[in-house]
Amino acid sequence: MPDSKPNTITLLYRFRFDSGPEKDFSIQLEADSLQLLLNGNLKKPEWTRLKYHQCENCPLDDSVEYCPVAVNLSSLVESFQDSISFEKTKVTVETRERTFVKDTTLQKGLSALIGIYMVTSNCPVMDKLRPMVRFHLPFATSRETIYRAVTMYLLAQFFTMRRGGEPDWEMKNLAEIYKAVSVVNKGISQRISNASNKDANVNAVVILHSVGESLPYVIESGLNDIEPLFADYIKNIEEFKETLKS
Amino acid sequence: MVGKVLVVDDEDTLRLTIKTRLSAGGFETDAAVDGEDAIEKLKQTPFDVVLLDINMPRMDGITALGIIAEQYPTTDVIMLTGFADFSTAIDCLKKGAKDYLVKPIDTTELITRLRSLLRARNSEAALDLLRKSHASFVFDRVIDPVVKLHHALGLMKKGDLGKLTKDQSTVIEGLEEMAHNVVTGSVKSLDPVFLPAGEKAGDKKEVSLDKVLDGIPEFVSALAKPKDVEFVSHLKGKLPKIECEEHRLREALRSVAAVAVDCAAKGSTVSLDMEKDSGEKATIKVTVSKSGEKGQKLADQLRKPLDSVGGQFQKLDHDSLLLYAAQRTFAAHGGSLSVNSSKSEVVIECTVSKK
Repeated sequence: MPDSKPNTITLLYRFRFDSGPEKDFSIQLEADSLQLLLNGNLKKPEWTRLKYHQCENCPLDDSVEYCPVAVNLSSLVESFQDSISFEKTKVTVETRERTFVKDTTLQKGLSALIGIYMVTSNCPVMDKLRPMVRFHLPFATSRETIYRAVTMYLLAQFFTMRRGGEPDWEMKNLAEIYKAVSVVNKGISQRISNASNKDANVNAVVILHSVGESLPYVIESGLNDIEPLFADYIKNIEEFKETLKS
Repeated sequence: MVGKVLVVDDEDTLRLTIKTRLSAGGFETDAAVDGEDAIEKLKQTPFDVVLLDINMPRMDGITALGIIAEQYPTTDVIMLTGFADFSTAIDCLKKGAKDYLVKPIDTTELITRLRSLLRARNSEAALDLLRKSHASFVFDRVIDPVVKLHHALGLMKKGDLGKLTKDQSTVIEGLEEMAHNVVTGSVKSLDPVFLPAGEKAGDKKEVSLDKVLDGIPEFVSALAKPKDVEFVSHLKGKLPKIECEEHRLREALRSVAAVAVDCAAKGSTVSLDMEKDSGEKATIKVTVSKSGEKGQKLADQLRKPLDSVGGQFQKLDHDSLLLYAAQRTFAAHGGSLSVNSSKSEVVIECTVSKK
């Protein structure tokens, strides 16, 4: 059951396949840092070595032997190494607050799960997205993910400002963060492609990549896909401000 | 440069993000969820390029590629493949894909490749148009008239159209050789694969078929007489009206008549007839009652469409060239030309749309 241990956040992913088998994955996160809590000795196959298809922008030095994301993903990748991406599955995600259930494809369910591992594994590039895990939204559409990414970033800028720092309201750095994230997604997909016989694992990362890759362009275009949703809201807020003044 | 691109992937996030990026890059885009859906979309509207995922439910990318390559050869395909699929990607290139991209896709690279592919397509299309217009010009405006000229000179040389002096014969022989060289040279320069079949006739006017056939019976009689071939015209009564390039259609009918006489054996009959009720088409039949081997050969030859004649084009005799040119003219008027032979009889059937 989620959050059975104190000071931890637990997310449970359950994949139920039409063919019968069921696969469960329990993720324990340290509640404050949102860092992945490891259980026992993880397998470290060859493809998890840092130098094996190391991401082009990897800031880790030679003292680090294994890619932290790859190591944390290894069991999951092994579980689905022979699975095809479009296999139908019912995915149940249990969190402390609620349970999500969706009939979907394996690649889609797997994508949400891999996304959690990637941002909680102490990868210096992916860590910049970590706060999103606390408000994890499984099976999110690209639009929802972009909304969450932008709002998280802007909230971070608010906290920066409150602490006397220099906020980036133009979100210039967010585009740069996602460009770097895309490079890591590409590197990880290359690693796990060599550890898989079928395409489910790789395509799950491909989904993450496609959303991440599109984000800089969405920001560049002024978020014009989302902006219309705020037209009335902004008007109301302005009117409310005027009311307060008078 | 706007290109029409169909994005085919079973994963909706991927489909949507690629589609959005391409639309922002100035491409006209649509999306399909699998191979079957892609084929349905292609049936409804043409696309310049299809971005095709390989592993999909219902119909996979490789099956869809085969269908696209066969049924939509003017559509280019770029395969989208996972890292482990290199050998599959190479197979796809062999099966007609233009390119492949490895997932996860860098959309900037995708746009660069699409633009490059579309540039190449546009250049190729322009070149193709030029080839076609050149081929049409050479065939219709050079080969066809010069073959007729060569034919007429041949008749003159033989004295079929009146006795010639020695000097006149020498001049005719020289002209005949020149005409022959022009035909041979032009045929050598032309690849029939670029001949568009049945380009629509321009400058059409409403005219009675009587008027188009005006002079043809006399022409056939004049050709037939020296060969001891009888000519009979069964064309009687009022003939239907058609819309045509009158001069061009008359020339084609003259060619058919000249070829028919050429095929006719001594003592045989060439008859000109018209089917009484052939619906929306007017059908003119030229029948040779007894032909030599030539008629059979022509019938066999004309069964092959001109654009499939290939390397044999240079070996075609003048009668075949004349009939192919006439065939193009009838096609340009919404009709057709076919040659049929049975035993020793040869029937050349020409149809043209009625008004």
